[in-house]
Amino acid sequence: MELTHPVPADKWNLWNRVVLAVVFVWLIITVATNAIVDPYYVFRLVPLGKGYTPNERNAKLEYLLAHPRSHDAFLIGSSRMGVYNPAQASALRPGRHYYNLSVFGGDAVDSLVMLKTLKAQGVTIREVVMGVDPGTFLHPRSAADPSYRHHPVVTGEPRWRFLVDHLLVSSFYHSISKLEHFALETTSTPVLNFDFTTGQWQLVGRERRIRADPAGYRHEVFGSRPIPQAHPVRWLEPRFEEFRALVSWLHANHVEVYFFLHPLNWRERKALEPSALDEFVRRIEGIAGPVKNYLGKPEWRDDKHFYDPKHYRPYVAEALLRQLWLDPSTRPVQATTRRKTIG
Amino acid sequence: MLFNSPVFLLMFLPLTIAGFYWCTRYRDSRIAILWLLAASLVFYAAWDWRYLALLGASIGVNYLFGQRLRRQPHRGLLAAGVGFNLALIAYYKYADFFLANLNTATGGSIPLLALALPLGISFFTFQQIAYLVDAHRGEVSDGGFARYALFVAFFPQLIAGPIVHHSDVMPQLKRIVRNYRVGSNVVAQGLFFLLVGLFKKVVIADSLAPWVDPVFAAAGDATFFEAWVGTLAYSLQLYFDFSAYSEMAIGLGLLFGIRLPINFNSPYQATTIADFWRRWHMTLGRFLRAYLYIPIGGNRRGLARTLAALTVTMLLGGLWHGAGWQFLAWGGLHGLFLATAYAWSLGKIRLPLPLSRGLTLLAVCWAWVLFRAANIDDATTLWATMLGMNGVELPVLFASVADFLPGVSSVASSHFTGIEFVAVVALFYWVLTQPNVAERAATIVPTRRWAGAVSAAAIAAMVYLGQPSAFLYFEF
Repeated sequence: MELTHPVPADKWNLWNRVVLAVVFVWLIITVATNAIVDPYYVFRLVPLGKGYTPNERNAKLEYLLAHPRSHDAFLIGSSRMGVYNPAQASALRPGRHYYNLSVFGGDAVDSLVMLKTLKAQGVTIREVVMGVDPGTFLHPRSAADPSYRHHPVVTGEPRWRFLVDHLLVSSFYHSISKLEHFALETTSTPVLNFDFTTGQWQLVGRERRIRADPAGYRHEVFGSRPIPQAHPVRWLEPRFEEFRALVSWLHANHVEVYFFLHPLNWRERKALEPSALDEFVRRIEGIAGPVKNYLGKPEWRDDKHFYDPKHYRPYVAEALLRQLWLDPSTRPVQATTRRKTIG
Repeated sequence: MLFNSPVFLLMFLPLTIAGFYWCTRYRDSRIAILWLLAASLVFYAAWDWRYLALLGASIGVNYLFGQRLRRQPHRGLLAAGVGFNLALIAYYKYADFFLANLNTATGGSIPLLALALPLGISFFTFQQIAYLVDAHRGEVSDGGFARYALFVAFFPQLIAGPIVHHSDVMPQLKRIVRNYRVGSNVVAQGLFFLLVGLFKKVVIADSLAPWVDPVFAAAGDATFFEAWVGTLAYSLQLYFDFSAYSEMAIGLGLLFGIRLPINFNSPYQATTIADFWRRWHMTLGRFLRAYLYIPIGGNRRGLARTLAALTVTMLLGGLWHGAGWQFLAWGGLHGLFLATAYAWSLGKIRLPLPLSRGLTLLAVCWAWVLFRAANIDDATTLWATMLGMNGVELPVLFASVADFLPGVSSVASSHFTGIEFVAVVALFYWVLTQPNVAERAATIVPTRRWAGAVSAAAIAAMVYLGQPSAFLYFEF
């Protein structure tokens, strides 16, 4: 391991200084970017716009913990739930004050840990609506991505460690995205808006593009994609147990819960064998009882109802919520135990 | 405190280095040694302060044994000293394994102790056993308690090796005197090892985890493709993870002017299984060879004794890695490989080099399934899948290939698109053909190219330094 090329010490000194200087400068840039641009909305030192955060898990919990009595009902699940309007849900359910607690890639584990934390912190949870996303039963979690990091109150880690990690985390992509979003916000053409007070996402840029040229948008987003072929699917077994744990906790805590299965874009539906979807429905209902099944709703299959192959537009969400609660056959998935009322 | 954590890299390490250099410049060498020792104990306590007393007791008791053995070799005393160390590791690491199996065998229900494994116990125990044996042989000199304690507890190697031999480090610790200087070329090598090791860990090893974890978490659900990719990815992950740790340890040592032994020498380039064990975790191999294999006969007492010695050594080597039947089985499998290779070598039949290397690599990767699987059942399930006994399914990306081959189908994989296979093959190509980090470290020169390369590796590592993940060998 001894160096094979003898070199004067001063050259090595300079070399060491250059390497350490580069590392140090990069570190300063990283820390400054994370503190000032604050893409994960952790430090809030500089108000760079209001409608952007890639880490909903932290941002939504932060808001709810600061306002523990504002909400007692929650929309939960994955990003497919992101456009759901909690105000509409509250209007359809008088006496309930909804918040959109869905998160990117959110699954049963995410929902459960956040709900447990809220309850432990004194938030009343009376009702929950969850869109069950078959995608979360197929794909592994992105554990290392800072965007998926839960609030320190959820994980129990010291707040200082959470802050130090976010000072040093790699965030250039999200930092640039946030700066771009801020620039667009200030010129009145924002691309998206995240409302911390409701938890709802509004993809205003996409809506603008669709209204301006619906056919062009569909061609751009969907046109180049190949027609999918149906293949057998292997569901991630642990996800069903995690879902069961969520259902059990909700029942044990006397939470009125409504489950439904999201409508799927025809492409996504085509990529899954019908028997796989039937199995999925059967297994979900085996755990949660009868659920509203919108998987194959023909009126919601077309590309025009979607931003991309997975995410449908807000008016679809509005229609589904109306159907969910205005349908007299809808019943909460609630055990026959006595409901706990707010005292 | 992980080596790849911001707290270590930006707080602990700079403080420790600054304090060390200040002590050597303005104080005497004893203070510098004590500073390093204190820093090492703080490092250990950051993991779990409750086991600091255990580490201290282990160091103190072994030092006393060593002093006595040095002055008056005595087999009984040596046995007591070695027994003390083995009892420590047996209690913390193997007691529950023993109890659980006893309960299974007898139908009993003795409660398990549920002891947390003190970090690094497998490493610092072996280090001190070697010290006691050599003290008994008259092969150690006294360096004082502080130096001995530092030899055991030096933070770069305390948690996961290299298993440092006293002859590696004690002479170097004795050279730490007032106005001790670490050459700038040594610092440069230290930076190289540290930053390249960091790159290997956070950029390469951690990126492989998503291809490994889901396969081994649900072994029964893995397809043919998933089982192979998961196994090959794990083989790479373990190599990059463990060698990265060793290289970071070496780099950290060099920053204090201390050369720790190389622990990996391109093990996947091995030509035989014996060669593999001379390249993989070299310090463990050195220990097992010198303190177990040779004392129980080695290859000097006939074929049968040699094969038995190989098997016993590897069985215990496997057990050292973990308290589980799958580790014992993994060690036994390697013992079988070594015994077979030894017997084969006596026949003086030589395989072509590419075939020999290929078979060695295949055997090693095959055995890693036992190492990673949750239990032997999962391992055998994966092996059966890898042999195609549960069907041969390729991901959708290779559907056209699957259509062409009889008996092969394609399925939408939960975990893989198919491109991972290409990445794994590319990584293996790199590992099999390129010089390793230690070889490169010997050839660096203070040029802009090397500065750029090392800086780029450091920046890439910092970009990936989102959420520090533990090194795989910490579990041992």
